Order: sequence, then C-alpha cells, then structure tokens
Amino acid sequence: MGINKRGVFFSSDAILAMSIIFLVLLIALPSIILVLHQPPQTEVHRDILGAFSSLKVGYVNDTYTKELIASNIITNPNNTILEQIGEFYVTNYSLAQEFANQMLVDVNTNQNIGIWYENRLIASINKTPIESAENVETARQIISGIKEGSSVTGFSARAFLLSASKNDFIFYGGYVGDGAITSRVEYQGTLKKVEMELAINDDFDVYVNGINVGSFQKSPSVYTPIDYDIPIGNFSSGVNTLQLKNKNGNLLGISGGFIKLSYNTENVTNSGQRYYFPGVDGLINIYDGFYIPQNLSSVNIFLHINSGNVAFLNIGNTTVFRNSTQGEQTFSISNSQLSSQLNYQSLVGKTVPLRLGLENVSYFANYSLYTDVFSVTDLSSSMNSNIPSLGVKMISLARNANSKFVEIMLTSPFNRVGLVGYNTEVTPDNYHALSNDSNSLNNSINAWTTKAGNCVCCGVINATQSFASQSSSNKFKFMVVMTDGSMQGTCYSGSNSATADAIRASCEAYDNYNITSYTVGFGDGADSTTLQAMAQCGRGNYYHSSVDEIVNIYSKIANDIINASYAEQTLKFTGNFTTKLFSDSYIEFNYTQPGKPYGSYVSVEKTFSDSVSGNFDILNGSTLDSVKVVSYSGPRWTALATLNNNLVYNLSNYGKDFTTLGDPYFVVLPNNLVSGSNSVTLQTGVSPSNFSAGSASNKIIYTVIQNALTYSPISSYSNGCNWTIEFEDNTNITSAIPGNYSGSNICSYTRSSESYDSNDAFQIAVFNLLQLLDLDKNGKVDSKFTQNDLQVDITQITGIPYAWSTEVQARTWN
Amino acid sequence: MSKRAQSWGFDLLIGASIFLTGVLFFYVYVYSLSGGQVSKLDTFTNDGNKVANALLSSGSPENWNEGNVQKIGILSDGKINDTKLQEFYSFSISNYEKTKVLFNVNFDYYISFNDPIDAGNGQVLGIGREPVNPENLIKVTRVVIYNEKPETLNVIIWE
Repeated sequence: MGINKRGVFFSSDAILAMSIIFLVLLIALPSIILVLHQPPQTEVHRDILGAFSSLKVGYVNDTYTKELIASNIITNPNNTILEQIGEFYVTNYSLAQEFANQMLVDVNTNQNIGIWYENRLIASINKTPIESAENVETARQIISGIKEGSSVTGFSARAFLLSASKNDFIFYGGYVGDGAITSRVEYQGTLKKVEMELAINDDFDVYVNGINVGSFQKSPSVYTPIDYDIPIGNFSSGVNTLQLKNKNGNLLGISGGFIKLSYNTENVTNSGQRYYFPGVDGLINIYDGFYIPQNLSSVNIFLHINSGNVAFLNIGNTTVFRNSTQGEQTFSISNSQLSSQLNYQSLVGKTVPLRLGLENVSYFANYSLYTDVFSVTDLSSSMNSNIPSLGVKMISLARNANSKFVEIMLTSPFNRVGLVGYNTEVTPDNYHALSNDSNSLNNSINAWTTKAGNCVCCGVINATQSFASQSSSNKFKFMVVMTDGSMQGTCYSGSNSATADAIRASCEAYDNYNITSYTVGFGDGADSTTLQAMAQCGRGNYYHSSVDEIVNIYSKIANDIINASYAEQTLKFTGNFTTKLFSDSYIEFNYTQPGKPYGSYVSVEKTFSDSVSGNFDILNGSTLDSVKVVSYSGPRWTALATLNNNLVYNLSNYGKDFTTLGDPYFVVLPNNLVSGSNSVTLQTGVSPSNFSAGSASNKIIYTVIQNALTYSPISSYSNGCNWTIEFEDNTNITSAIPGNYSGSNICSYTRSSESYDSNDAFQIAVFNLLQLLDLDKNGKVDSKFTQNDLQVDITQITGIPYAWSTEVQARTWN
Repeated sequence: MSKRAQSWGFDLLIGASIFLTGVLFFYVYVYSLSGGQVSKLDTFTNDGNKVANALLSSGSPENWNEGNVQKIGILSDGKINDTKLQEFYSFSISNYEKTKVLFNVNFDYYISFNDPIDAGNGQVLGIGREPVNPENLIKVTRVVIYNEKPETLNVIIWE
C-alpha cells in the first residue's frame, strides 16, 4: 500500500512538472513561432543606394531628367543620381523630392522604401508609414560636398598681386625748370595706367611722343602737389617721351613730383643705375639728388645740350661740368675724369644733391637773390634808459638784436647789411655802409652812442640815399626801421609834421628805389600808428616788440627777408634767350646692386602728420626693403632730414650757398636706423642757418617684402563683389573683383566697415589679402593702388569636395 | 528494505518517462506546427538570394558565355549588360537545368523586370520557367540599373 502510494505520488509529481513546463512553453510559443517566421531580409535598400550612386544623371534614360539637363537645371551631367539629389537638396528641396521620386518610379516592390538626406525624407514608396513599422532596415552612405543651406561643391580662391604687375616711378627733382619739361618714360610690357603727382607753377599741356593728350591745371601751390591721370593711348612699350608745355606763356617749374607707370610685364629689369636728366626747353634749372646704395665703381656722364650760356653740373659741391655750346652738342665725361674730381666713397650710402644750371641765368637769378638791407635804429636818449625788469639798457638790447640780424643776413655771402643810427640826425659814428663784414658791422653796433632826438624820417632818408649810392636795381633792398617813441623832426621843406615825413620817406623809398620797409615798435611807447603806416607804404610788415622780445623780432625779420628774396629765385628769370637740355642726357652709376630677397614688394605711402614730421611702422612679418622721404620744398631746399632723431641728411654739409647745390626730391633713409615704430622730420631751408617747416604733403614711401598671397578656405560659392577699399591716405577706390564681376554684392574694407560674405571664396581671399596689405591693421590698406593697380588675380578651383558631408539613408520597413 | 528501494526506482523511472514523453511530444508538436514551413521558406529564400546575388554580379569569367560560364552574372559596371542578359536568356532556353546547377538552386526560377526583356531577337516577359500552378512560391526583389534607369529585378523561386 505504502509502495503504491509512493508510485502515485511520483507519477503525479511528474505530471505536475510536465504541466508546468507545458504551460511555460505554451506561453512562449507565439514568440518562438514568430522568431521562426521572421520575414526574409531584403537587399532593396542597399540596391537603391548602389544604383543611385553609380548611375550618372547624364545617362539616365528618362524624359524628365533629360528635360532638366536640357533646361540647364542640372548643370553637371556627371553627377550621380545620389549627388544630383543632394545638389537639389541644398539648392531646391522640392525639386530634390520631385527628382528622387521620379528616380523611384520604376521601382516596383512590396517593400516600403524611403530615402533620407540627413533627417529629411526626400522620397518614398510606401504603403504603411515608417512610424508604424515593426521592422526597419537601413543602408547608409556618406556623400561629401553637401551641406544643407550651402553648396554641393566647394570653391577655393587665392588672391595675390600679380608679379607681372609693376609700378615704376620717374621722379622729378626738388625743382625742375624752367620751360617745357620732357621726361624719358621707358617700360617693357602692357601699360595700364600713367599718373603724375606734381607741384607745378602753371597750367600745362601734356604731349606723349609729341602728341597732345590733354590740358591740365597747376597745383594749388608749389608746396602742395596734385594728382593727374594721363591718357595712355599714345604710349608704346619701349622708350617714350612725356613733355609738359606751358599754356600761358610762363616758364614751367616743377617743385617736386613723379610720374607713376603701372604696367604688366614679364621682364625683370634691373633699372636704377642710370639717372636721366629731365629735358628742359627754356632755361635749364635743375635741382635734384641721387642715392647710391653701395660699392660705386665708376661714373660716366652724357650731356646733350644746347646752350649759348655756360651751363654747369654740380655733384655734391663739386663742379664736374662747365661749358657752353655752339648749337646742339653732346658731352661725354669719362670715369677717369670724374674719378679724379669726385671721392666716390663719399657718394655712397647717402643722398647727394645734384645741380644742373646756367651760370649766366643763375648769375642774374643770384643777383636777384642778393639782398641789401639797412637797419635803421633809434639812438635817441630814451634808448639809454634802464629796463629794471631785465637790468639792462634798451640800447644794449638793440645792439644784441642788430648783431643777431647781421649774423642771420650774412649767412649768405652775397647779402650785405648797412647800419643807420639816428637821433636828431645821422652822424658818421652811428653809420655803417652796406657790407658783408660782420666784424666791422658789429664793431659799429657796439660803438653806437645816444643823444636826444628821434628824427625817424632822417634815418629813413639816409638809408634810402645809401641804397641809391651803394646798391643796384637788381638786388633786393630792405630797411628795418625801429623806434621806441614818437616821431620827431621834419625832413621835407615846408613840412611841420614829423609823422607825415616819416611816412612819406618810407613811401618814396619804395616808389623810387623799390626798397621794402619793415618797421618795429620797440616797447609800449612807440608810435605804432605811424610805424604801421610806414610799413604799409613800404610794402613791408610792422612788428611790435616788447623790450625782451627785440632779439627774436629782428631774427624773424631777417628770416622773412631771406625767405622773400630766395622765394623769388626760382620764379623770376631775366634775359631773352633760351637753352635746351635733352632728355637723353644721363649719369651712369656702376655699382653692385644689393641682392633682393624673394617675395612681394609692397610700397606704402605715408603722408606727413604735419609740415614737419611723419611716422611709419614696420610690423613683424614684414621685411624692409627701402624707405625714403619725399619733400615738396617749393622754391626752398630740402635741408635737413632726421630718422628717429638721427640726422640723415644735411644739405649744408655740401656748402653754405644753397643756390649752387641741388635739391633732392627724396632723401633715402638708411635701413639700419629703421626700427618698428619710426619718426621722420624734414625741414627746408635757404641757408645753413635758416630752416623752416616743409610741406604737409611730404610723404614717407617705404617698401616692404611680404608674402602677399592669400587663400580662401573651401567655401560654398565664388561670386565676387564690388569692393570699396580705403587706403592709408584716406582715399578710396571702388572696384569689381574679379574684374568681370557684374553683380550687386557690396563689400568694404574701410576704417568704418569691414564687410564681406564669409561663404564666398572670392571675397574671403580678397579680404585676407587686404588684411595682409593693411600693415597696421587699422582698416586702411597701406599699399596704395589704383583700380588698375588692383591686379588681384583670383584662381578659382572648382570641384573641391565640400568639407561638409551628408549621410544618405535608404530604408525599407514593414 | 530492498522492495522499498525497488519501488522508489520504479516510480522514478515512470515519472521521468512521463516527463520526457511530454517534452518530446511538445517539440514534435512545435515542429509540426511551424518547423517544416520555416525550413522550406528558408530554402526558397536562400535559392532566391542565390539567383539574385549571382545575377547581380558580372559573372565568371567576366565575359562569360554558355561554353565557359562558371557563374552567371549579368552586370557590368553596376548596370545590366544587355549582352550578358541575352546570353543568359539563351542559356536558360538551351540548358535550363544547367543554369539551376550554376545557381545552385533546387527549385525553379523565373526572372523578370517591370518592363519586357530585350532578348536579342525579340522581347520576352521573363527568363527561366514561368510559374504554373505553383505549390510554393517566393519572390525576391532587387533594384538594379536597367536600360539606364533604376528598375526592379524580380527573382521568383517556385515548385
């Protein structure tokens, strides 16, 4: 019984266990069956990507596609279907959908099929939405050159200043005249532009190779240049002549300037070893200079000249030519002759003045330069009074002032000074005739005595009579009349007015002898009304001087007189003859040209901050090639130049009589004194002791060597733009870049605005280039160029796979 | 004692037999429920894929013909090659059974596109044996470039 019970027990356990197993398996059965009945995997999604990525649209045998190609909507038939859909995807999404669906039109399958670009469904053939799918299979493919909202193909551009583009400068001297002026213009290549910057004294016509190409107006002043555009139609590659002819019957004089040639060339010329003189048809009067960088081995001179007057050529202070001609003649001065006259070593590494002129004409001009001046000084008893604040007598200050006046006036050996001391009359012990003997004059000044009386007209008339007897009509004549009180004493019969007589004496001095009268009221007791009237009638100026300023006032008057006389130098010539210097005349310097580093040479023009100084910076990454300062000195001489407080040019090193010295238009500054930030000063002068400010139009021209080549990154497109570019001198140009761009895009690189499209390869490359040429990064391009100079050449490289890529998915689902 | 031991062993044997019989019965049931069908479906599908994969290749040798063919493929440069397609059609006419051998399939096949096939001397609707009262049939669909546009290639395996 027990055994049976145990058997039943075991059997029921087994049945129970089996039932549990059955129950579990029955629950799991549907899943097991489902697994076993998994639908077969499909390859359709992979096939679609494969087919779409291997069939080019140009081969698609489909009317719709052919129409797209025919209508140029599809521009690249070599695109695969996948790429073409991608192109439409970024440029015209609805067209992408339409095209993709058309490509699927012959795909007939029970599968649900869809094509996605990134997360956007482009096309589908489906019976059920993917959202309800239980099983999704995906094939993926990456295509490059696709970025939503961008292009399908990248563009890269590079911008650079064409090496074939070249600018040459032909400099006029500090002064070139007087008459028709001819320049030798040589270039090899295709001329793009000719510009001139001149400070010129009169209106003129321009002749190119003998053909009149236009009339132009004079510059605002001889200190202020103006820019001219010269028509280029009559130029040809090779040697040309450019002549300026006067329009109004006056002789032309150029007080500095240059001709700038912009042209394309494949020739690399090594110019600069020959200095060509400008041709002058009129009166040869050239003030210039030159610069030899190193190792001068020989010099030869060729002059082609026609001058009945003696012409002279001074290099530095050495006269290397002095001759007249019988008609047109040429002169060759050999190196052997020149080497015996010149110390070549002294000509190297600095700017050397050069003067070519006519002796006879210069003689007349120099006579007109020469100045006779009488100092007419009050020696009344009031001048013997003490000045408590200074502890000196007024006569002592007058003596000091006159001594200074003599010193300044006699800086030119051709000037003369006379002394007239007056009280009731002019006595011999207070008089000194016109003289350039400063010792004698100073001795006379120191011997002055005073006594009562203040006959101003007596002093003026005495000086006038002295001029009449001692001076000549072709000299400048001045008198400086000083008094500390009121007019006393009469000079004309029947007159009872000392004031009227003083004024009359001054008027007659000018009217009869061309004597200019400057008057000085010394202290507060002076009759300033009468003195002003005297100065007005005598065409001079009136100065009031406090007791402690008298020396300065006399110094100023002396400088004014010198300036007035020298200012006339280059403007007035007398005589009735003409001379001619031909523009094939030259000086040939043979020297070793310094090696030039490889790179793009960028010339920067920096206008002076004021009439005395300017500054420039050499930034890191730029290598200095050369730097020079150009001077618009007018009728004065460029006399002193400093760089970073180092004196780099001093004309007086070559002599005291500036009229025999040249006047360089530009002074070359030594590279070894150039640092990162630099200051330059420049002064003009008429004598070693007379300096004054120059022109605010002076400029520093420096050339740096730089890798002026820029690239754009791979960008979406390359359209171009109309650029407005501001330069360091605050001028602008507007130019389409590239040159054939005719769209309406506006870009700028100016101080106030830097705008461009960061997706346009052209614009990026140009912007980068402009930044590179903006050496001080102030939004203004340092390298001045005209629209024609802007030979920014852009090479477009198409077909670069765009950096962005897009995932394409083909999905099937059920 | 010895009888008790015998009865324990006997009961255990009976219980275990019943359990194992139940498990065996379950698997037989499951197999009869789906197992045979799954196997046939797999076989059909495999045959379909074999044919499709072979056809969507360039074949062997590259320029095969009926005389030297080792593998039947009808693509060149990713597209249907008309010459190969016509060769395949001819081959299927002349020696259908050999094509099955080359495809390594047991069942009949029938190849078609959406459009009629240019068989060289006329158009045909398909290549191979067209299904006639099939007992079982599966269709494998592929997409391929035919006549310079994406087309559907249908491979039907049937018996």
